[in-house]
Formats: sequence, structure tokens, C-alpha cells
Amino acid sequence: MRRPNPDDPSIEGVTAPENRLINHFFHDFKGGLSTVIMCMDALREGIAGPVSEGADRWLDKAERNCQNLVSLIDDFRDLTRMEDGSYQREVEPVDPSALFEALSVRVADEAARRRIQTAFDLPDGLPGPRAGSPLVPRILDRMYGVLVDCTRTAGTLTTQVNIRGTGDRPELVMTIESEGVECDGTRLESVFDKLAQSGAGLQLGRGYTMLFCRAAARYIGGDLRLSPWPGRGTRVDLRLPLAAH
Amino acid sequence: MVDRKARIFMVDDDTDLVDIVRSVLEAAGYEFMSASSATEALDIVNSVGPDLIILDVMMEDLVAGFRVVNHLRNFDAFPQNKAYEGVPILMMTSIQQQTRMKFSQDAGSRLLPIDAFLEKPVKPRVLLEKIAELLHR
Repeated sequence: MRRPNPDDPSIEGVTAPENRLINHFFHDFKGGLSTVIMCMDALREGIAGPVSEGADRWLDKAERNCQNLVSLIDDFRDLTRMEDGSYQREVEPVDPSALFEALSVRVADEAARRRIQTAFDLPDGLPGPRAGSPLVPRILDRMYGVLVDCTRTAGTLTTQVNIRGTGDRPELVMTIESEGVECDGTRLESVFDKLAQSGAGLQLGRGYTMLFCRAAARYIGGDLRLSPWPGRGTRVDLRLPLAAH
Repeated sequence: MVDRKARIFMVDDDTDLVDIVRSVLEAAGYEFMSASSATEALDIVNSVGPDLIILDVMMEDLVAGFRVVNHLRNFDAFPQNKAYEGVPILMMTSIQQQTRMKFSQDAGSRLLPIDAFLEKPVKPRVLLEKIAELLHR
């Protein structure tokens, strides 16, 4: 019998046996993909001789797609762990300044290719490095991958960052506006519904990334909400605690 | 650090992965030997005489790699393995969280007594750096 996650009643839970089955599948998928990625890396590093610029470009594409699959596997596996309560809370150094620097780099290539203007408006005095959840950089990395994809060619993707709370428990409060795909206000929740995502016709958040991002944000005490940006695109409101949860 | 080429012993049931790691490590000047199961690893580890062990977790069973660690590091139960006390164990696995959380370098810790953990996929350059770091400690 399915039971809801005690931390978040909105998440339909998987049972422990289902979780084990999923984990075994994911382990096998990830193992094979990891070997493929390592082979491509070794080729690119010249293990079998010099690689031409053209060949390197194709290896890069193949590797990037394999990496995306590994990320998808990791996200879905950890989502099942959050649902059945077996996700182990971890702590690692989180540096907000480095985080946004990495995000700028993360989106730069694709944004340049599609002439998307990106901007991160950061407040003065971002909190310094601290012990936080590794889910924070992961949520941002995954979410911006989707947002860049959903921003129209030559559109804008802007991020306003604020800090709420002080002392030991600051939170990142972000408003992100993506010019392009306008989410359907009546179907917003379907973006965060696994079964709805397996259907057709969805726009922003097509696939499982956004639902992972919201589940992970809520798991650490934050939240993620989408709303239409009428006539322009979609707005994302994200709140992420920076302290370890 | 040893004077001869350092000998790396990899225990993993993914033969393609073992092949690629062998190529990378031999190209970098290491000697390389491998086993494809925990049972085989424990059978031959004495004859291999490794300077460093790369270990997978899930092989012939879910915790095969943990069993190898237990044999090589539990000196109360296996005093003959005291010789491996200074041989670094690098765990390299697709199992992400569960291994990382159980891993500790602290002496006396009840957590898994390995020296380092890398989550697959691992870039060859990262693997080489980690091995060099462990061998030069």
C-alpha cells in the first residue's frame, strides 16, 4: 500500500520494496552509462591517440547526453528515497557566490547559442560559505537547464536574488523570469505530477526535472512555485534554505 | 611511496570499465591487476600485493565490496590482513549516498574504513589525481 511522505503530504510515496527495485534498476543503468562516459573521456584525453577537433565535438555531444541521463537517474532515484524516507541528509560546503558564478557558466554556452540574455541580480553581501545541503546547487543546476531550454531564442532569462533571514539560517529567495514558454495557469500542478508528465502536451517543465526540483526544495524546507508571466513567459519563485537541514 | 611502479588492484565486475581503467593507469605508468568479484579478490589479494585497491560495491551480491573492506580492515577478525593496514582503499561505485555516508577516514570510527570515495562516472584525470594523492600520503 502506498503511503504519503510524512514530511510532505503532497508527494505520493513509493513503498520500500518499490524503492529497492528502482534503486537496482538505476544502479544497473548508471553503471553502464558510467562506463560509456569514462570511455569517451579517456578517448578525449588521448588514450588511443590524438582526437580531431571534429571527433571531439561529437564525443562532447555524446558525453553530455550520457551525463544528462545520469543526472536524470540520480534525481529520480533520490526522489524515491525522499518519498520512502530513506534519503540520507547530507552536509557539504555551500558558497553562494561560487554557486551563482557556476550557474552563469552553466547557462552561458546554450544562452549564447540561442542569443538568450541572462542576468543575475545579486544582493550586496551574499552570505559566506557555510555547511549546507548538496541539494541546493543541484536544484539550481537542474532548474536552470530547464529554464534555458524554455526561454525563447533571443529572449531574456533574469534572476533576482534576495536573502531572507539572518544569522545561522539565511535563505535564498529568488524570482526568475523566463521569456518564452508561458505556463498554463490551469495546469501548473501537472508540471509536478509524475503521471501527468508521462502524458503529452505539457510545456514548461516537460519531463521530471522540475518536479524533482520542487520535491528537493521542499525536502530541505524551501519551496518552488511557477506562475504565468502573462504575455511574456513564466515566472519561478524559489526559496532555498542555505543552512544544513 | 614505493620505488617500483605502484601496483593498482581493481575489483569490479564491469569488464569494460576494468579495461578502460587498465589502459588509463598503465599509460600513466602503474602496474595493474584486477579481479571481477569479491571472492576472487580475497583469493588472490595476497599474491597481487597491491599498493592501492580500487573497489566496487555491488558485484556478486549487494555488499560484496563492503565484505572485501571488512576482510582487509577488520584486524581483530582477520589478523593476517594487518599487512594491508597502509594500503589505501578507493571505493568507486554508482551507489552514491549510501556509501558516502558510511565512509570515514577517522581511526576508530564505526563507519566504513575506506580512504576515499569516488562516484561513477569518474573522469580519468580525476581518478589519476586521486590515486596519486592516496599513494603519496
